[in-house]
Amino acid sequence: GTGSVSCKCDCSPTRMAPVVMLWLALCLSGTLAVDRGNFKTCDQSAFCKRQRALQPGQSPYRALLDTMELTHTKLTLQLINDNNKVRLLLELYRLQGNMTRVKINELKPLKPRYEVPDVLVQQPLTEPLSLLSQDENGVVLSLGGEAQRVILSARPFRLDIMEGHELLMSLNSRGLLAFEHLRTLFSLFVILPSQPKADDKVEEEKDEEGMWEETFKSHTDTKPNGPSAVSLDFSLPGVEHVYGIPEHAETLKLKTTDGGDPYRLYNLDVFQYELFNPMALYGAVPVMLAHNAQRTTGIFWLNAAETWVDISSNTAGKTVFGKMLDYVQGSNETPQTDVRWISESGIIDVFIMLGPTPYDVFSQYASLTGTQAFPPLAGLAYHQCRWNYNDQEDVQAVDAGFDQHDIPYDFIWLDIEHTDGKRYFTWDPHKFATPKDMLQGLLEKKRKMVAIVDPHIKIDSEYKIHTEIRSQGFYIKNKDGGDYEGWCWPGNAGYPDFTKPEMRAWWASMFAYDQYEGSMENLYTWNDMNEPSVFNGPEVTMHKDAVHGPWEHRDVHNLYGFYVQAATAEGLIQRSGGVERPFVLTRAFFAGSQRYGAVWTGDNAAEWDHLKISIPMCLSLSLVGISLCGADVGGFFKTPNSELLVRWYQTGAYQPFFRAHAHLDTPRREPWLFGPDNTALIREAVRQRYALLPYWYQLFYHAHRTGHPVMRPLWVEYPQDAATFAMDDQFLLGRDLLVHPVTEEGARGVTAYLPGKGEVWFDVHTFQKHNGAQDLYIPVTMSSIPVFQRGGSIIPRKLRVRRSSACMEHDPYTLFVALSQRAEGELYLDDGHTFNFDTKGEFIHRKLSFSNNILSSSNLAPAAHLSTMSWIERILILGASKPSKVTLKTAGGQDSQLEFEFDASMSVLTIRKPGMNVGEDWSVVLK
Amino acid sequence: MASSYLLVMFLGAVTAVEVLRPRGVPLSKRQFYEENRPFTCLDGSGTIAFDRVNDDYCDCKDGSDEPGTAACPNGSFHCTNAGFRPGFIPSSRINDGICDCCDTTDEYNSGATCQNTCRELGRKEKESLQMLAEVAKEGFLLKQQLIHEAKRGLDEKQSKVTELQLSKRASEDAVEALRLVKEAAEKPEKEAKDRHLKAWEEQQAVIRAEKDNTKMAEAFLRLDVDADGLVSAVELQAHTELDPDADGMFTEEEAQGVLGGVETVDTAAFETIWSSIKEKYLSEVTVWVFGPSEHWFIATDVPAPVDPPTPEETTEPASDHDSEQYPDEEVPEEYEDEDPDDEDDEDQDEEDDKVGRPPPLSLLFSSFFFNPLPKVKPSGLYSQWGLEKEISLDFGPSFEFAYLYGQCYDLTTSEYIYRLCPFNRVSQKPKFGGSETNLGSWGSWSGSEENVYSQKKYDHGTGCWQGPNRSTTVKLTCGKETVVMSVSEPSRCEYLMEFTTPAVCQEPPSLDANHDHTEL
Repeated sequence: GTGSVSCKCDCSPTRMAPVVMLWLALCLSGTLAVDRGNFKTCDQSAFCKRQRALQPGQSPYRALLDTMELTHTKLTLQLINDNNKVRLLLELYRLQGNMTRVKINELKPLKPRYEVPDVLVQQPLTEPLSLLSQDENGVVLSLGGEAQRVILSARPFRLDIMEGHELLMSLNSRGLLAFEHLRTLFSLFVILPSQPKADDKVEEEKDEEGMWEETFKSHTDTKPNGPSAVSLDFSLPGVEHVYGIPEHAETLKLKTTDGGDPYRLYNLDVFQYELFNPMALYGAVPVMLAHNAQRTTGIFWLNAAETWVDISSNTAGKTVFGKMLDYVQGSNETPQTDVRWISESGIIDVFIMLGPTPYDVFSQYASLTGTQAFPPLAGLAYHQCRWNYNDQEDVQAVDAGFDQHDIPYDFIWLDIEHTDGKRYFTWDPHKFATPKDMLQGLLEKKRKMVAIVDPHIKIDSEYKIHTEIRSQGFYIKNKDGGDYEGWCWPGNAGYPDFTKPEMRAWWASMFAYDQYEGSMENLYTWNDMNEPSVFNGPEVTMHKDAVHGPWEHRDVHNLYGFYVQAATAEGLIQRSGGVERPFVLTRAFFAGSQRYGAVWTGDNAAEWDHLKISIPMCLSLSLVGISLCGADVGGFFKTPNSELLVRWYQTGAYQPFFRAHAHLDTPRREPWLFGPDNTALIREAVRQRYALLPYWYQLFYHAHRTGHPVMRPLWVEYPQDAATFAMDDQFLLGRDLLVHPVTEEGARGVTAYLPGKGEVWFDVHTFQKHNGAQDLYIPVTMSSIPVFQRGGSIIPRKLRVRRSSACMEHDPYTLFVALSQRAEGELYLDDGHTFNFDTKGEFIHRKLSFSNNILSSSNLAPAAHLSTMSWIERILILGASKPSKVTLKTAGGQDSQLEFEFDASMSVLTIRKPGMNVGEDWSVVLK
Repeated sequence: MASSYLLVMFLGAVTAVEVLRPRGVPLSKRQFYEENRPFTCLDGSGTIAFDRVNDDYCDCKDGSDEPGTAACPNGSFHCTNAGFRPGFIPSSRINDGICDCCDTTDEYNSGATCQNTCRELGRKEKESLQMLAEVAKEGFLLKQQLIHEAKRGLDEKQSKVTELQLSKRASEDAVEALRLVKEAAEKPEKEAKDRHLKAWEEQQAVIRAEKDNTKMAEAFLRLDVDADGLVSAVELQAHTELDPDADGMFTEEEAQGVLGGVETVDTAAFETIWSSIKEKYLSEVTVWVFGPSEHWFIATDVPAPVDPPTPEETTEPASDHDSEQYPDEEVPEEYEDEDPDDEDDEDQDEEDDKVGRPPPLSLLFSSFFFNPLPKVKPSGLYSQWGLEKEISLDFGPSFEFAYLYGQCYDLTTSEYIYRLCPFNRVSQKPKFGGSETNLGSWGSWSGSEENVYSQKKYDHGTGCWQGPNRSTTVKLTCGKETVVMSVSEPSRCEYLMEFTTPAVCQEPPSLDANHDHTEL
């Protein structure tokens, strides 16, 4: 990415702006890895420390059953904290699609508490709840179908969600519900407004350190609203595997946090982040998935403030032998995972997604926050980025280099140096004097460009963007009411208040062709530094007491980047009159960010471990709705050797967002700079990506329609196979491709796990067939990218790889039919870049199926229409037997004989040039 | 005229030939594609019916059955490009909507509207070839002259050496003879050296006095922390290095003692005590004083000021701070003096100036006698003019680059002035003030094996943060003039400079030969 806090600067001696001095101060302290001291531990975050100090089993909360009201959409009921007599209001909803929502707020807060807007796509649809039984200890409610009930216990307050006799999840079972009520600084000894009964004693609340002011590394957070944290615990009986809550540089399976820090969710610009730890990174999606062989559930904690998540498990640390011993000795304590969420402000608003399958959870979450934006086809192709391509001549030379070396690419990217002095929406007058000429040159090759637009705005009275934002009052304010100012790339900068809808609308309008000078339809956008990054702010971000209208930055922090991307994507849509799909990359994100574009894993490094962790990092994002994820190919910081670079290209070619990127201070690394052998290896990896674009596009269409992830952990498809639960060195694309990239230096072979008892897998390069449910050792060379196609699937490819995806639009398809007796697949296409698929039904969606020696194509979307020149040029049937005759039947009724070849050694039948248009109904009969 | 007429004739023929050979096949391979005969893949991997050639399905592994379609991933398409150069493009560029062949033949079915630009391109290429040839021709003549002058300069020196040799007793052992030459040569050299050293020292003394005054004023300002125009004992105490007994305890009494027994001193009084404290006094900036080096004697027959020692010899690069590596009082001034326009003090050396400024004769000797010369080829004995022990300059096979020695060439961009001093260094200086950055010192010729003199490398420049030391690659192309054409920074701290010089001009091939090539 562009950057990290400290390491992006123009180091030319003449440009020693003050920001550089600051940068030096920041950088020199941590040139090798993250400076942990710049970021808070739970102990250094007053609310986290306070909340974590609470002991389980001492919940002061009691449900006041006589306040219960049950309407057809929800149950409401008051909770009381017996220590301070503050009352809370609990709302419980049954939502359509097997979800339960629990909201807890103060009954009468001194002032409104922040509830996260704009993340849910709509007010969730409810289903009726009914009362099953009630006594003085609690109530039992029916959650509708599937014999699901909620048991609400009164003292202490607790919720248990049951299905039949099975306990699915408990809330406050450990008694760690905590709700710091709003107070005034001097109200501590004032009698509270509730009417205490005679035997109730109102405990005096102590003013603890850090409640009203907190200082971290010379930055003071003034906390005018005092303490406001919320917390709740969840117990997950029978669960040993939990996932999600990105973004962390962590394994797919989350670890327990006993004895260490909780996982932190607080969008931060972390310079040279470390791997395998719970530190916060650039984005936050407060969604956790829990899985066992029987069920998958999810918890969506809708809160945009700084959040910490503790995970503990009663089986953690037990060896397999220990577990067996428990079993043999009959001490069969059910495995259980306990989770606790702590947020600094806002309310408790939690969605419990009850599955039961992984796909149910994906659909449930998608119904709340929306699905993946359907990217333009080119967005799934290869992106060439560098901080920075120096000038127009450089762009032209790199573009020509790709043609000269016959490597396809779709997008070339410009980082911050393309601007006129880090003023976004402008161009450097010397280096990029005629941007339209440059864009036109790319357009003529059917290629595109991305230019960076960051949300920090240079304070400069000559800069239109700044003066407009200032005059309209759109900047975030500091605690004293003035415009908040912080240091970032341009030096002193203001930060537009993207939480304001009118600010977002104005921002979007800046992308109009007549506003954004030098822009054209093939120019797209990259939002970096939107955590937001503030070089001289606490933890390199904004002061929490900065003000967004009625709210503090504390309340909205994790939502800032979400809004920046949303407003930018809206701008790209509007500039085309609502016709063209946008492409916007963001570094910061939140729940729902999937609706606006792509995400990358920020400023990684050219190290083998960083290559490896790109898999779990993107899988974790995929599980919580964000499918369009990628890591900087080659690694942002440092310099990869050619082996690492090649392996990274090979891995990246099979990850959703495929972009090479490099730090300003690293030597150039365009694919042809490492000798002809490596150039050829990279060319081959990129070509494999392009050939597979029809499948990628179809998977993204599917993700857009359903919310199902594109890149999937194996357990999602094999939920009962415990061997897959913690696997994160390989992954699936859709259901049908299994990828086990080589991520070890000097590897001579990899061991891939092919799942599925009774299934078969075909090596996509050799067509060798392998049985499922086995560890398969695969010898590898530098050209190997172990990828397998599932027997029973049909995958379309375009084998005529050209210099950009748009050049391949009309090209014919080759179908790869991998048999396991039968096979099924799909083929989706549209114009590749507009919303016409949605607004006008202009697309083709075919179902391809093979059974009883007949391969046929039928229409999955009869109402849709699109005429295409694309045809089927070849069909490969893997695992076939030799037919004597192959006949094509088309809708016209004319049968024709097709030529074929049969490779007996690999049992591959190749049908030559069947020639039918992909939009037609047809069948091919083998005899 | 005749040739362009032929071209037109041929154009007419192409259309006719097109029918006879499949699309995308060059004439040279026409015989492999005979109509109505089975086609054998050019790699021999299979044989197919002729109607399978260019039928938009890839049958041959080598792609040879689809020269005119995009069906094969590894195919290539031949554009005739009549009027320009014929060529091959990857077959993936056929009908991709982008015009690749100037004769438009690659886009026969994509709907792209391409203009035939072959004639235009051919004309332009011819023009530019002609221009290049003219430049090469003139450049080559200049080069001959350069070689001639460099050789003459060398011959003179060689004959002087011979003279010296002859004036001594002949010896069968050449080395022994030269050793004696050295002794003889050393004597006048030493006299000149002493003479010069004295002048130099006087000059230095003046400079030192000035510097001392400056230093004193600076010290006063630094010591006078409260800026009241007086240095007090208390203020002095902060400078523990001035503690007279250096016992780690610099008391106020001791400080008063240093000040001559008073509480405070003004500037006048400070002057009187300065001499007693200046040796000990430490400011934040250590002033670097330039003194004679072992290379001093090399310039005995050149009037003062002397050639500056190269920076590498005189300072250890302590950090990447420009000002420390190149102390202000030294290199830049001397450096400016090297500007060809400023060399009024070297007018007498006019002859040498034209061909650069070869090192004085004594250098030849001293470098021979005092420096172990590694791998000296017999003929190269005097061509290896070394300024440093390790480096022996390579002025090209015919000494054609000798004229660049001691010269500098500037290029001014919107922000910087870049300076290339060919056998010395490359630097960058902001146009509107600021310190100079070393972009690399002369390293070596770094062109390809066939033409090692087409490129040179300058490295070990000022270090980059978290990055390499700055370095510059200079690409040399033939030109009538010696000019820096452009500078870029393709990768952080790795600069690329384009430089034209007659010294790389090759004898141009005759244009007619080129013509034939253009046509087919």
